Amino acid sequence: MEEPAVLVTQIANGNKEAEQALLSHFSRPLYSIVAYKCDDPTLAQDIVQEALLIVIQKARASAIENPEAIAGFVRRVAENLLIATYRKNKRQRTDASDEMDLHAHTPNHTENQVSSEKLLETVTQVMSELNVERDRQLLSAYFFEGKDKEELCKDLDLSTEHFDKVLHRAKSRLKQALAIRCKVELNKQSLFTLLSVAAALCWLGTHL
Amino acid sequence: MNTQYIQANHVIQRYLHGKLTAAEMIEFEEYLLMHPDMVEEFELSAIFKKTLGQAAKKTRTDSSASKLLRFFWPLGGVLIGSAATWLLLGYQQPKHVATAISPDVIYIGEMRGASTSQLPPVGAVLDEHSQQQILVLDVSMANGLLFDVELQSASGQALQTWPALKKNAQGELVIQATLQSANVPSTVIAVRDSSTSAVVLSATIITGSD
Repeated sequence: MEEPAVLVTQIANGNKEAEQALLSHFSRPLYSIVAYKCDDPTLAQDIVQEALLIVIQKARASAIENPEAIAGFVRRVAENLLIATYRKNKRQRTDASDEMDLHAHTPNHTENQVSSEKLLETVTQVMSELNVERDRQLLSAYFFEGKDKEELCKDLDLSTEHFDKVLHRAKSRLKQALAIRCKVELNKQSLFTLLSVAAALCWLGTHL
Repeated sequence: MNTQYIQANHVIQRYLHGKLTAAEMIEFEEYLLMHPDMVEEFELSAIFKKTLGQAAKKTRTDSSASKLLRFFWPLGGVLIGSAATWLLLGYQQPKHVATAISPDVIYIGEMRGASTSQLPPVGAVLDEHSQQQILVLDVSMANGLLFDVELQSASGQALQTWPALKKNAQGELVIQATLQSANVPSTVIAVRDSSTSAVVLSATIITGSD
């Protein structure tokens, strides 16, 4: 695949395949960033769709001044959309109570909860495979508490090689468990929400 | 910023825990956008961060022994862990470890050097309602690339074979089996290196209620 900067130039020259290639390139990483920031898969999907639509339209109109900095442009567009959504939600709240706000999000919240439970089950499975309590402590302290590698190796009297081995193994097993239990094809799908990227691409395909 | 820098400086972890500066955060996000091959790593770390606190709690709740381990860890966690593993495997070859992770997925690993000349250690006990099993056999420590997998009854009779299986990127062989269809109380699984015929992994799986 061509570099995104090249694709931007090709889009300006009317190349439709370059548009699809640009969408494919940015969809998943952008979705991952936005979904992580807003913790709302549906909102993240909307933001990614809208952001990439804006990017494509700007590219078509040769309005992207520096194609080499396309990643920065994509990031800023998505961030501005996310901020605008938060502002809009804040304005819409006015004197509405917290209780009403919660009710409005109930269906979405339930969907997220089901998905989170599945993930929790899978991670619990991976954790239960670790036969040494110290390895469980290590993963928890590193991923959940955010402790540094050096600090952990010192605290638990571990070599850095063992640390890397436990980390690599845990990630590999999580990938495999997700593939088996959640039917996730990791090379194709985002782990944050299944099929969201495909849905975004379909949506963009019909709206462009 | 590049992949090496990101890994060496644990940038993903620091990003997920809000420990990057604003400039570093922007730089990392832009790097991720330009290098989608790193997204999987980012997502796995995010999932671990999001769920590990709860998962750890759940694991602890499921096992009161683990609470003791936490309490005594500074004094003897390693010894207690080794003893528990030793007991779990029926006093046989405490180096060997196998875990049944669900009624249908059985992970067997770190059984290097095991032999089938005598009944290998119990690796897993199947749920009586388990219909079909996915066996994940960790041969990452073995040097070979192709492996022969054989299921045998306790008397040594071959029940099913999978010749010349290639290990995946994680060094594992994943096979689908129907262990209870043979109607034997236990099944021995043996993995041999295709080129040398040396047994690299073996375990007994209890398949009957007896």
